Amino acid sequence: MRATLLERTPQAMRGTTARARLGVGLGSMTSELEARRALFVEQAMPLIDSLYGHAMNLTRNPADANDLVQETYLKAFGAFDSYEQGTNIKAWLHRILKNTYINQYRKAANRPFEGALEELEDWQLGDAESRTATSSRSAEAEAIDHLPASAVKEALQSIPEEFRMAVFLADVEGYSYQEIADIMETPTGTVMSRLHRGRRLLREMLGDYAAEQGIGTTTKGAAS
Amino acid sequence: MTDCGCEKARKALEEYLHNELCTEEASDIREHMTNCVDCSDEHHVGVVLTDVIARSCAETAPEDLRSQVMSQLRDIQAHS
Repeated sequence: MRATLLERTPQAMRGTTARARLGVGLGSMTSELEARRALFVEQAMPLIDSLYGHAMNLTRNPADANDLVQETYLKAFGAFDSYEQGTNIKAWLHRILKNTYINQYRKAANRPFEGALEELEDWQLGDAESRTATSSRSAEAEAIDHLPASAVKEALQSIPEEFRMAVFLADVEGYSYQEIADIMETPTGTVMSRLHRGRRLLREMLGDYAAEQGIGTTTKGAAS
Repeated sequence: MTDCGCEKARKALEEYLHNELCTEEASDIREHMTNCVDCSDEHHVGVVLTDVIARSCAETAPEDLRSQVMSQLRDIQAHS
């Protein structure tokens, strides 16, 4: 047992051999790993809700989200040496999660790359703002504010992946444009465009939903 | 008093909402909105949209997942 562990000791650690003979080397090896694990747990585990949210946002189902989060943590711990302390660990973990998703789940689901949606012209996406008459903006806000969470979730899940991810990271997780750019590995300009289009789509869908359901003061007033 | 005007304000509203503008630009937008109901209503829709998305789509990781991850991390260490 001791021999096996010593053989695996990296070259740089060989200096501890003398101490190992005295029976303290193993202890320090173990405590070094222990310290690394403790540091990782301390820094990475508080982000599990955020990572799970991101995973749910991408996979759209709890079972896949669970697997994705577990794999993300395992990969991240394996690569923890390459993480530079003091840099943004949130962005680092979210980037690992996104890449794991792209490499495994999206491939497995045989889903085509959705990047083509980037090419959609503005008119194809509609323009929520222009459809809203000045006088009804407060009614629109009121209606959106009263929508059930399930409807909002469903709307977010239905928009294209890139838009969905940008909206989730900005509006649910509160990440800055630069952080989102780091996670999505795109320029901030692309982040802004995805965010803008995603939010516009959502606003439109939620407005339509509210109107259909008769949610909002204007519709109610007209009906009674 | 300088007013940046509706056109500039509309373009910058989303960045304003996400706290992406520098102090100076942000105060220009804020100032414009105190005089312009149209832009401040538009901003309000954006704020409400963000709030609704945030409260509807936030997730809490299941307790099981937390403990699974912790035990997997412990396992890795045992044979590394």
